Amino acid sequence: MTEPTPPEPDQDSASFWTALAEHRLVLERCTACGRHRAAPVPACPWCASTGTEQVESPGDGRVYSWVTVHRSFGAPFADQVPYTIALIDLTEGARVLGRLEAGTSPVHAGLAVSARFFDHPSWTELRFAPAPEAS
Amino acid sequence: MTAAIAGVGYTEFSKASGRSVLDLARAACEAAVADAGLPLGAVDGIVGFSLMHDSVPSQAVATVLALPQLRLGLDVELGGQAPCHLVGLAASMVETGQADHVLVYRAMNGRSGARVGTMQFAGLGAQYRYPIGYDAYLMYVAMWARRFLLETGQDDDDLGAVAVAQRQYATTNERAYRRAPLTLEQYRAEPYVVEPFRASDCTVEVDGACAVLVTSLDRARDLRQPPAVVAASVYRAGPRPGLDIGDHLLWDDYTRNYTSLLADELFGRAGLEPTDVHVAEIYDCFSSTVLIGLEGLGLCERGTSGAFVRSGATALDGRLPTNTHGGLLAEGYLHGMNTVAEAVLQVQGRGGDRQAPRHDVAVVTSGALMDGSALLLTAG
Repeated sequence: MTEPTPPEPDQDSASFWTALAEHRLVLERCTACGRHRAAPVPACPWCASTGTEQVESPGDGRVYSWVTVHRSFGAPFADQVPYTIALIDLTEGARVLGRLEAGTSPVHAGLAVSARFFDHPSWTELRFAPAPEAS
Repeated sequence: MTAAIAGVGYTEFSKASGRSVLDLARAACEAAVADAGLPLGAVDGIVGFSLMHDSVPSQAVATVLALPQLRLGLDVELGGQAPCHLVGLAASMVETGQADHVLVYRAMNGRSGARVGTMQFAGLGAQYRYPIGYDAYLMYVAMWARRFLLETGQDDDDLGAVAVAQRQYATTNERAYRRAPLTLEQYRAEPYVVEPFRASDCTVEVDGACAVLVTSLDRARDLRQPPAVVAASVYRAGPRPGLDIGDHLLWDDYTRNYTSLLADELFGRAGLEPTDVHVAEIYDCFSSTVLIGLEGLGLCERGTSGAFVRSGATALDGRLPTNTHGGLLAEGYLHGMNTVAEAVLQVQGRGGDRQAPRHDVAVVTSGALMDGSALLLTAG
Protein backbone atom coordinates (compact mmCIF):
# COMPACT_ATOMS: atom_id res chain seq x y z
CA MET A 1 0.00 0.00 0.00
CA THR A 2 1.06 3.60 -0.65
CA GLU A 3 1.85 5.47 2.54
CA PRO A 4 0.03 8.77 3.05
CA THR A 5 2.13 11.93 3.11
CA PRO A 6 3.16 12.38 6.76
CA PRO A 7 1.87 15.36 8.75
CA GLU A 8 4.09 18.42 8.74
CA PRO A 9 4.24 19.60 12.34
CA ASP A 10 4.78 23.30 13.04
CA GLN A 11 6.20 25.04 16.09
CA ASP A 12 2.82 24.94 17.81
CA SER A 13 1.92 21.36 16.99
CA ALA A 14 5.22 19.51 17.37
CA SER A 15 4.43 18.42 20.94
CA PHE A 16 1.18 16.78 19.83
CA TRP A 17 2.89 14.61 17.21
CA THR A 18 5.86 13.80 19.42
CA ALA A 19 3.51 12.53 22.12
CA LEU A 20 1.54 10.43 19.62
CA ALA A 21 4.77 8.79 18.50
CA GLU A 22 5.17 7.76 22.15
CA HIS A 23 1.59 6.44 22.13
CA ARG A 24 0.39 9.21 24.36
CA LEU A 25 -2.43 11.65 23.66
CA VAL A 26 -1.47 15.03 25.06
CA LEU A 27 -3.94 17.92 25.16
CA GLU A 28 -3.47 21.58 25.93
CA ARG A 29 -5.37 22.94 28.92
CA CYS A 30 -5.90 26.64 29.41
CA THR A 31 -4.68 27.65 32.87
CA ALA A 32 -7.11 30.60 32.90
CA CYS A 33 -10.44 29.04 31.90
CA GLY A 34 -9.62 25.35 32.19
CA ARG A 35 -10.80 24.35 28.72
CA HIS A 36 -8.96 21.66 26.78
CA ARG A 37 -7.97 21.68 23.13
CA ALA A 38 -6.40 18.98 20.97
CA ALA A 39 -4.68 20.82 18.12
CA PRO A 40 -2.13 23.03 19.90
CA VAL A 41 -2.46 26.78 19.32
CA PRO A 42 -0.59 29.71 20.92
CA ALA A 43 -3.57 30.98 22.92
CA CYS A 44 -6.91 29.76 24.19
CA PRO A 45 -9.61 30.05 21.49
CA TRP A 46 -12.20 30.67 24.22
CA CYS A 47 -10.50 33.28 26.41
CA ALA A 48 -7.29 34.29 24.55
CA SER A 49 -5.10 33.43 27.53
CA THR A 50 -1.62 32.24 26.65
CA GLY A 51 -1.38 30.32 29.89
CA THR A 52 -1.19 26.70 28.81
CA GLU A 53 -0.31 23.40 30.40
CA GLN A 54 0.00 20.04 28.71
CA VAL A 55 -2.07 17.23 30.14
CA GLU A 56 -2.08 13.59 29.14
CA SER A 57 -5.49 12.23 28.20
CA PRO A 58 -6.62 8.63 28.65
CA GLY A 59 -8.23 9.10 25.21
CA ASP A 60 -11.82 8.27 26.12
CA GLY A 61 -14.67 10.00 24.35
CA ARG A 62 -17.88 9.75 22.39
CA VAL A 63 -18.70 10.04 18.69
CA TYR A 64 -20.17 13.46 17.78
CA SER A 65 -20.43 12.82 14.03
CA TRP A 66 -18.85 10.62 11.38
CA VAL A 67 -18.52 10.09 7.64
CA THR A 68 -17.86 6.89 5.76
CA VAL A 69 -15.65 7.29 2.72
CA HIS A 70 -16.72 4.97 -0.07
CA ARG A 71 -14.73 6.55 -2.86
CA SER A 72 -11.17 7.55 -2.06
CA PHE A 73 -9.67 10.85 -3.09
CA GLY A 74 -6.02 9.91 -2.77
CA ALA A 75 -3.95 6.92 -3.79
CA PRO A 76 -2.88 6.06 -0.22
CA PHE A 77 -6.48 5.38 0.71
CA ALA A 78 -7.74 3.68 -2.43
CA ASP A 79 -7.37 0.17 -1.03
CA GLN A 80 -8.88 1.11 2.32
CA VAL A 81 -12.43 2.10 1.40
CA PRO A 82 -14.85 2.04 2.96
CA TYR A 83 -13.36 3.69 6.01
CA THR A 84 -14.92 5.92 8.64
CA ILE A 85 -13.58 9.19 10.02
CA ALA A 86 -15.24 10.41 13.20
CA LEU A 87 -15.26 13.49 15.35
CA ILE A 88 -14.72 12.44 18.93
CA ASP A 89 -15.63 14.56 21.91
CA LEU A 90 -13.09 13.55 24.52
CA THR A 91 -14.16 13.34 28.15
CA GLU A 92 -12.06 16.45 28.83
CA GLY A 93 -14.15 18.40 26.28
CA ALA A 94 -11.70 18.64 23.39
CA ARG A 95 -12.90 17.52 19.96
CA VAL A 96 -10.54 15.46 17.79
CA LEU A 97 -10.63 13.73 14.42
CA GLY A 98 -9.75 10.10 14.03
CA ARG A 99 -10.40 7.07 11.94
CA LEU A 100 -12.61 4.46 13.57
CA GLU A 101 -10.87 1.12 13.41
CA ALA A 102 -12.22 -1.28 10.84
CA GLY A 103 -15.20 -3.25 12.03
CA THR A 104 -16.60 -0.45 14.20
CA SER A 105 -20.18 -0.94 13.12
CA PRO A 106 -22.80 0.23 13.48
CA VAL A 107 -21.63 3.70 14.40
CA HIS A 108 -23.98 6.02 16.23
CA ALA A 109 -23.79 9.41 17.84
CA GLY A 110 -22.67 9.02 21.41
CA LEU A 111 -20.84 5.73 20.80
CA ALA A 112 -18.16 5.41 23.52
CA VAL A 113 -14.70 5.04 22.02
CA SER A 114 -11.13 5.02 23.21
CA ALA A 115 -7.87 6.05 21.58
CA ARG A 116 -5.64 3.70 19.60
CA PHE A 117 -2.20 4.49 18.22
CA PHE A 118 -1.48 3.37 14.68
CA ASP A 119 2.17 3.52 13.71
CA HIS A 120 3.23 4.58 10.23
CA PRO A 121 6.92 4.39 9.26
CA SER A 122 7.64 7.98 10.32
CA TRP A 123 4.66 9.09 12.42
CA THR A 124 1.82 7.84 14.56
CA GLU A 125 -1.86 8.29 13.77
CA LEU A 126 -4.55 8.73 16.41
CA ARG A 127 -7.41 6.32 15.82
CA PHE A 128 -10.37 5.18 17.86
CA ALA A 129 -12.11 1.90 18.63
CA PRO A 130 -15.26 1.16 20.61
CA ALA A 131 -14.56 1.32 24.32
CA PRO A 132 -14.62 -2.13 25.95
CA GLU A 133 -17.51 -1.16 28.24
CA ALA A 134 -19.54 0.17 25.31
CA SER A 135 -20.68 -3.20 24.00
CA MET B 1 -26.16 56.40 -1.59
CA THR B 2 -27.54 52.93 -2.25
CA ALA B 3 -25.77 50.36 -4.40
CA ALA B 4 -27.29 48.03 -6.96
CA ILE B 5 -26.28 45.29 -9.33
CA ALA B 6 -26.77 46.42 -12.91
CA GLY B 7 -25.53 43.52 -14.99
CA VAL B 8 -24.47 39.89 -15.01
CA GLY B 9 -22.08 38.03 -17.30
CA TYR B 10 -21.37 34.37 -17.87
CA THR B 11 -19.21 32.21 -20.03
CA GLU B 12 -20.37 28.75 -21.01
CA PHE B 13 -19.99 26.18 -18.22
CA SER B 14 -18.17 23.18 -19.62
CA LYS B 15 -16.06 20.13 -18.88
CA ALA B 16 -13.04 21.56 -20.68
CA SER B 17 -13.11 25.20 -21.73
CA GLY B 18 -9.96 25.03 -23.83
CA ARG B 19 -9.34 28.62 -22.72
CA SER B 20 -7.14 30.24 -20.11
CA VAL B 21 -8.65 31.32 -16.80
CA LEU B 22 -7.73 34.89 -17.73
CA ASP B 23 -9.72 34.61 -20.95
CA LEU B 24 -12.70 33.22 -19.05
CA ALA B 25 -12.50 36.06 -16.49
CA ARG B 26 -12.21 38.61 -19.25
CA ALA B 27 -15.18 37.23 -21.16
CA ALA B 28 -17.52 37.07 -18.14
CA CYS B 29 -16.53 40.57 -17.01
CA GLU B 30 -16.97 41.99 -20.51
CA ALA B 31 -20.39 40.31 -20.71
CA ALA B 32 -21.50 41.81 -17.38
CA VAL B 33 -20.52 45.30 -18.48
CA ALA B 34 -22.25 44.87 -21.84
CA ASP B 35 -25.34 43.50 -20.07
CA ALA B 36 -25.52 46.72 -18.05
CA GLY B 37 -25.09 48.75 -21.20
CA LEU B 38 -21.92 50.49 -20.05
CA PRO B 39 -18.72 51.17 -21.96
CA LEU B 40 -15.87 49.00 -20.65
CA GLY B 41 -13.80 52.04 -19.75
CA ALA B 42 -16.35 53.05 -17.11
CA VAL B 43 -15.26 50.16 -14.90
CA ASP B 44 -13.00 51.38 -12.11
CA GLY B 45 -13.06 48.47 -9.70
CA ILE B 46 -12.42 44.75 -9.97
CA VAL B 47 -12.78 42.24 -7.16
CA GLY B 48 -12.16 38.52 -7.42
CA PHE B 49 -11.48 35.48 -5.29
CA SER B 50 -9.58 32.24 -5.59
CA LEU B 51 -8.42 29.18 -3.73
CA MET B 52 -4.83 27.98 -3.99
CA HIS B 53 -4.19 30.34 -6.93
CA ASP B 54 -6.84 28.80 -9.17
CA SER B 55 -7.95 32.19 -10.57
CA VAL B 56 -6.23 35.24 -12.01
CA PRO B 57 -5.62 38.57 -10.27
CA SER B 58 -7.77 41.66 -10.77
CA GLN B 59 -4.86 43.58 -12.27
CA ALA B 60 -4.60 41.00 -15.07
CA VAL B 61 -8.29 41.36 -15.79
CA ALA B 62 -7.97 45.16 -15.81
CA THR B 63 -5.11 44.80 -18.27
CA VAL B 64 -6.99 42.66 -20.79
CA LEU B 65 -10.12 44.80 -20.45
CA ALA B 66 -7.85 47.76 -21.32
CA LEU B 67 -9.23 49.77 -18.41
CA PRO B 68 -7.88 53.31 -18.10
CA GLN B 69 -7.57 52.98 -14.30
CA LEU B 70 -8.58 51.01 -11.25
CA ARG B 71 -9.73 52.71 -8.07
CA LEU B 72 -10.39 49.36 -6.41
CA GLY B 73 -8.48 46.14 -7.06
CA LEU B 74 -8.95 43.31 -4.60
CA ASP B 75 -7.95 39.65 -4.74
CA VAL B 76 -9.22 37.55 -1.91
CA GLU B 77 -8.15 34.06 -0.91
CA LEU B 78 -11.53 32.68 0.06
CA GLY B 79 -13.88 29.98 -1.10
CA GLY B 80 -17.63 29.91 -1.33
CA GLN B 81 -17.91 32.40 1.54
CA ALA B 82 -16.81 35.14 -0.80
CA PRO B 83 -19.39 36.15 -3.43
CA CYS B 84 -22.00 37.93 -1.28
CA HIS B 85 -19.24 39.32 0.92
CA LEU B 86 -17.39 40.80 -2.05
CA VAL B 87 -20.55 42.26 -3.55
CA GLY B 88 -21.14 43.86 -0.17
CA LEU B 89 -17.62 45.30 -0.08
CA ALA B 90 -18.02 46.58 -3.63
CA ALA B 91 -21.35 48.14 -2.66
CA SER B 92 -19.70 49.90 0.29
CA MET B 93 -17.01 51.32 -1.97
CA VAL B 94 -19.66 52.58 -4.37
CA GLU B 95 -21.81 53.97 -1.57
CA THR B 96 -18.86 55.97 -0.22
CA GLY B 97 -17.85 57.25 -3.64
CA GLN B 98 -14.55 55.40 -3.72
CA ALA B 99 -15.48 53.55 -6.90
CA ASP B 100 -18.28 53.90 -9.43
CA HIS B 101 -18.56 50.63 -11.37
CA VAL B 102 -17.13 47.50 -9.77
CA LEU B 103 -16.93 44.05 -11.32
CA VAL B 104 -17.05 41.07 -8.96
CA TYR B 105 -16.05 37.85 -10.65
CA ARG B 106 -15.04 34.23 -10.25
CA ALA B 107 -13.17 32.42 -13.00
CA MET B 108 -11.83 28.90 -12.92
CA ASN B 109 -10.97 25.92 -15.04
CA GLY B 110 -12.55 24.10 -12.15
CA ARG B 111 -13.02 20.85 -14.02
CA SER B 112 -10.10 20.56 -16.43
CA GLY B 113 -7.66 22.39 -14.17
CA ALA B 114 -7.38 22.76 -10.39
CA ARG B 115 -10.47 21.15 -8.82
CA VAL B 116 -11.65 22.63 -5.54
CA GLY B 117 -13.50 19.45 -4.55
CA THR B 118 -10.32 17.43 -4.21
CA MET B 119 -7.89 20.29 -3.66
CA GLN B 120 -5.73 20.05 -0.54
CA PHE B 121 -5.98 23.37 1.25
CA ALA B 122 -2.58 24.29 2.63
CA GLY B 123 -3.07 25.66 6.11
CA LEU B 124 -2.33 25.18 9.76
CA GLY B 125 -5.03 22.53 10.07
CA ALA B 126 -3.91 20.49 7.08
CA GLN B 127 -1.64 18.26 9.16
CA TYR B 128 -4.64 16.89 11.05
CA ARG B 129 -6.70 16.07 7.94
CA TYR B 130 -4.84 14.87 4.89
CA PRO B 131 -2.54 12.24 6.44
CA ILE B 132 -5.57 10.37 7.85
CA GLY B 133 -7.63 10.34 4.65
CA TYR B 134 -9.90 13.20 5.68
CA ASP B 135 -8.88 14.75 2.44
CA ALA B 136 -11.72 16.34 0.48
CA TYR B 137 -14.01 19.24 1.27
CA LEU B 138 -17.13 17.13 0.79
CA MET B 139 -16.08 15.09 3.83
CA TYR B 140 -16.20 18.17 6.05
CA VAL B 141 -19.63 19.19 4.82
CA ALA B 142 -20.77 15.57 5.12
CA MET B 143 -19.58 15.55 8.74
CA TRP B 144 -21.89 18.51 9.45
CA ALA B 145 -24.70 16.99 7.38
CA ARG B 146 -24.68 13.77 9.40
CA ARG B 147 -25.00 15.58 12.72
CA PHE B 148 -27.55 18.02 11.33
CA LEU B 149 -29.79 15.23 10.02
CA LEU B 150 -29.53 13.25 13.27
CA GLU B 151 -30.22 16.16 15.56
CA THR B 152 -33.09 17.62 13.53
CA GLY B 153 -34.78 14.26 12.91
CA GLN B 154 -34.20 14.22 9.17
CA ASP B 155 -32.51 11.71 6.87
CA ASP B 156 -31.05 10.89 3.46
CA ASP B 157 -34.36 11.41 1.73
CA ASP B 158 -34.36 15.02 2.87
CA LEU B 159 -31.03 15.51 1.13
CA GLY B 160 -32.46 13.72 -1.90
CA ALA B 161 -35.44 16.05 -1.93
CA VAL B 162 -33.07 18.98 -2.47
CA ALA B 163 -31.23 17.26 -5.31
CA VAL B 164 -34.50 16.29 -7.03
CA ALA B 165 -36.13 19.72 -6.64
CA GLN B 166 -33.11 21.57 -7.97
CA ARG B 167 -32.64 19.24 -10.91
CA GLN B 168 -36.18 20.08 -11.98
CA TYR B 169 -35.13 23.72 -12.40
CA ALA B 170 -32.00 22.71 -14.28
CA THR B 171 -34.00 20.88 -16.94
CA THR B 172 -35.01 24.29 -18.34
CA ASN B 173 -31.70 26.07 -17.72
CA GLU B 174 -29.55 25.99 -20.82
CA ARG B 175 -26.50 26.96 -18.79
CA ALA B 176 -26.88 23.99 -16.46
CA TYR B 177 -24.36 21.19 -16.68
CA ARG B 178 -26.68 18.52 -15.26
CA ARG B 179 -30.00 18.81 -17.08
CA ALA B 180 -31.42 15.28 -16.98
CA PRO B 181 -34.40 14.97 -14.62
CA LEU B 182 -33.75 13.16 -11.36
CA THR B 183 -36.25 11.13 -9.34
CA LEU B 184 -35.96 10.22 -5.68
CA GLU B 185 -35.76 6.56 -6.72
CA GLN B 186 -32.80 7.30 -8.98
CA TYR B 187 -31.22 9.29 -6.19
CA ARG B 188 -31.60 6.47 -3.70
CA ALA B 189 -30.05 4.03 -6.18
CA GLU B 190 -26.84 6.05 -6.44
CA PRO B 191 -23.93 4.64 -4.42
CA TYR B 192 -22.55 6.72 -1.60
CA VAL B 193 -19.48 8.80 -2.36
CA VAL B 194 -18.90 9.89 1.22
CA GLU B 195 -21.83 8.76 3.30
CA PRO B 196 -24.31 10.42 3.72
CA PHE B 197 -23.60 12.04 0.31
CA ARG B 198 -24.26 10.49 -3.08
CA ALA B 199 -23.12 11.99 -6.38
CA SER B 200 -26.31 14.05 -6.75
CA ASP B 201 -25.71 15.64 -3.33
CA CYS B 202 -22.47 17.10 -4.67
CA THR B 203 -21.92 20.08 -6.91
CA VAL B 204 -20.69 19.41 -10.41
CA GLU B 205 -17.33 21.02 -11.12
CA VAL B 206 -17.09 23.01 -14.34
CA ASP B 207 -14.83 25.35 -16.27
CA GLY B 208 -16.25 28.84 -16.59
CA ALA B 209 -16.60 32.32 -15.24
CA CYS B 210 -19.33 34.55 -13.89
CA ALA B 211 -19.35 38.24 -13.03
CA VAL B 212 -21.71 40.91 -11.75
CA LEU B 213 -21.45 44.68 -12.05
CA VAL B 214 -22.06 46.76 -8.92
CA THR B 215 -22.81 50.46 -9.18
CA SER B 216 -25.00 53.05 -7.50
CA LEU B 217 -28.76 52.73 -7.66
CA ASP B 218 -28.98 56.18 -9.25
CA ARG B 219 -26.65 55.22 -12.07
CA ALA B 220 -28.23 51.77 -12.42
CA ARG B 221 -31.62 53.38 -13.06
CA ASP B 222 -30.20 54.91 -16.24
CA LEU B 223 -28.71 51.64 -17.46
CA ARG B 224 -30.13 48.93 -19.67
CA GLN B 225 -31.45 46.47 -17.08
CA PRO B 226 -33.67 47.03 -14.08
CA PRO B 227 -31.50 47.43 -10.96
CA ALA B 228 -31.19 44.76 -8.30
CA VAL B 229 -30.79 46.85 -5.17
CA VAL B 230 -28.27 45.68 -2.57
CA ALA B 231 -30.64 46.14 0.36
CA ALA B 232 -28.35 44.42 2.88
CA SER B 233 -25.07 42.58 2.95
CA VAL B 234 -23.54 40.74 5.88
CA TYR B 235 -20.49 38.54 6.39
CA ARG B 236 -20.17 36.49 9.53
CA ALA B 237 -17.64 34.12 11.04
CA GLY B 238 -18.78 32.63 14.29
CA PRO B 239 -16.54 32.04 17.31
CA ARG B 240 -13.52 29.78 16.76
CA PRO B 241 -13.83 29.55 12.97
CA GLY B 242 -10.73 27.37 12.83
CA LEU B 243 -7.18 27.46 11.52
CA ASP B 244 -8.03 27.35 7.80
CA ILE B 245 -10.90 26.76 5.39
CA GLY B 246 -11.03 23.03 6.13
CA ASP B 247 -10.59 23.15 9.90
CA HIS B 248 -13.90 22.89 11.73
CA LEU B 249 -12.65 21.19 14.92
CA LEU B 250 -13.36 24.08 17.28
CA TRP B 251 -16.91 24.70 16.06
CA ASP B 252 -19.50 23.73 18.67
CA ASP B 253 -22.74 23.05 16.84
CA TYR B 254 -22.67 21.33 13.46
CA THR B 255 -26.39 21.78 13.01
CA ARG B 256 -26.07 25.55 12.64
CA ASN B 257 -23.74 27.38 10.28
CA TYR B 258 -23.06 31.07 9.69
CA THR B 259 -26.60 31.59 8.33
CA SER B 260 -28.03 31.24 11.85
CA LEU B 261 -25.60 33.89 13.05
CA LEU B 262 -26.16 36.54 10.40
CA ALA B 263 -29.90 36.26 9.75
CA ASP B 264 -31.06 38.84 12.29
CA GLU B 265 -28.56 41.44 11.13
CA LEU B 266 -29.25 40.74 7.46
CA PHE B 267 -33.01 41.18 7.70
CA GLY B 268 -32.67 44.00 10.22
CA ARG B 269 -30.44 46.05 7.93
CA ALA B 270 -33.01 45.81 5.14
CA GLY B 271 -36.01 46.31 7.41
CA LEU B 272 -37.41 43.02 6.13
CA GLU B 273 -38.51 39.72 7.63
CA PRO B 274 -37.87 36.18 6.39
CA THR B 275 -41.54 36.02 5.43
CA ASP B 276 -40.97 38.89 2.99
CA VAL B 277 -38.59 36.83 0.85
CA HIS B 278 -39.91 35.83 -2.57
CA VAL B 279 -36.91 33.95 -3.95
CA ALA B 280 -34.02 32.19 -2.19
CA GLU B 281 -30.68 31.29 -3.73
CA ILE B 282 -28.87 29.25 -1.09
CA TYR B 283 -25.22 28.29 -1.55
CA ASP B 284 -25.16 24.58 -2.26
CA CYS B 285 -21.78 23.02 -2.80
CA PHE B 286 -23.63 20.08 -1.25
CA SER B 287 -27.33 19.44 -0.72
CA SER B 288 -27.20 19.67 3.08
CA THR B 289 -26.22 23.33 3.03
CA VAL B 290 -29.59 24.19 1.48
CA LEU B 291 -31.43 22.59 4.39
CA ILE B 292 -29.16 24.18 7.00
CA GLY B 293 -29.44 27.53 5.21
CA LEU B 294 -33.24 27.49 4.93
CA GLU B 295 -33.46 26.77 8.66
CA GLY B 296 -30.64 29.12 9.61
CA LEU B 297 -32.17 32.08 7.79
CA GLY B 298 -35.53 31.41 9.39
CA LEU B 299 -37.19 30.63 6.07
CA CYS B 300 -38.62 27.50 7.66
CA GLU B 301 -38.72 26.04 11.15
CA ARG B 302 -35.85 24.00 12.52
CA GLY B 303 -36.16 20.37 11.52
CA THR B 304 -38.68 21.05 8.76
CA SER B 305 -36.49 22.00 5.81
CA GLY B 306 -36.63 18.58 4.17
CA ALA B 307 -40.40 18.46 4.46
CA PHE B 308 -40.52 22.04 3.17
CA VAL B 309 -38.63 21.07 0.03
CA ARG B 310 -40.61 17.85 -0.41
CA SER B 311 -43.89 19.77 -0.16
CA GLY B 312 -43.01 21.66 -3.31
CA ALA B 313 -42.54 24.93 -1.44
CA THR B 314 -39.20 25.56 -3.18
CA ALA B 315 -40.54 24.86 -6.69
CA LEU B 316 -41.44 27.61 -9.13
CA ASP B 317 -45.12 27.49 -8.13
CA GLY B 318 -44.33 27.07 -4.44
CA ARG B 319 -44.22 29.52 -1.58
CA LEU B 320 -40.47 30.14 -1.89
CA PRO B 321 -38.80 29.27 -5.20
CA THR B 322 -35.28 28.24 -4.21
CA ASN B 323 -32.12 27.70 -6.25
CA THR B 324 -33.97 28.45 -9.43
CA HIS B 325 -30.92 27.83 -11.63
CA GLY B 326 -30.62 24.29 -10.32
CA GLY B 327 -28.01 25.44 -7.85
CA LEU B 328 -24.37 24.58 -7.85
CA LEU B 329 -25.60 20.99 -7.72
CA ALA B 330 -26.90 21.17 -11.27
CA GLU B 331 -25.95 24.43 -12.97
CA GLY B 332 -22.32 23.99 -12.00
CA TYR B 333 -19.72 25.05 -9.49
CA LEU B 334 -18.87 28.66 -10.12
CA HIS B 335 -18.24 28.87 -6.40
CA GLY B 336 -21.46 30.71 -5.69
CA MET B 337 -20.86 33.63 -8.02
CA ASN B 338 -23.56 32.11 -10.24
CA THR B 339 -25.80 31.88 -7.17
CA VAL B 340 -25.61 35.66 -6.84
CA ALA B 341 -26.07 36.17 -10.60
CA GLU B 342 -29.22 34.01 -10.58
CA ALA B 343 -30.68 36.09 -7.75
CA VAL B 344 -30.00 39.22 -9.78
CA LEU B 345 -31.76 37.78 -12.84
CA GLN B 346 -34.74 36.79 -10.70
CA VAL B 347 -35.07 40.20 -9.04
CA GLN B 348 -34.75 41.84 -12.47
CA GLY B 349 -37.51 39.60 -13.82
CA ARG B 350 -35.18 38.06 -16.38
CA GLY B 351 -35.47 34.45 -15.20
CA GLY B 352 -37.17 33.27 -18.37
CA ASP B 353 -38.77 29.84 -18.01
CA ARG B 354 -37.51 29.80 -14.44
CA GLN B 355 -38.82 33.20 -13.42
CA ALA B 356 -40.40 33.22 -9.98
CA PRO B 357 -43.86 34.85 -10.15
CA ARG B 358 -43.10 37.10 -7.16
CA HIS B 359 -39.57 38.47 -7.26
CA ASP B 360 -39.31 41.73 -5.35
CA VAL B 361 -37.10 40.32 -2.60
CA ALA B 362 -34.37 37.70 -3.00
CA VAL B 363 -32.01 36.32 -0.38
CA VAL B 364 -28.66 34.92 -1.45
CA THR B 365 -26.05 33.13 0.62
CA SER B 366 -22.38 32.29 0.11
CA GLY B 367 -20.63 29.62 2.14
CA ALA B 368 -21.26 26.33 3.85
CA LEU B 369 -19.77 26.04 7.32
CA MET B 370 -18.17 28.32 9.93
CA ASP B 371 -18.23 31.54 7.96
CA GLY B 372 -20.12 32.97 5.05
CA SER B 373 -22.07 35.90 3.76
CA ALA B 374 -25.49 36.85 2.48
CA LEU B 375 -27.30 39.51 0.52
CA LEU B 376 -30.82 40.76 0.33
CA LEU B 377 -31.58 42.04 -3.16
CA THR B 378 -34.72 43.99 -3.91
CA ALA B 379 -36.40 45.24 -7.05
CA GLY B 380 -35.40 48.84 -7.79
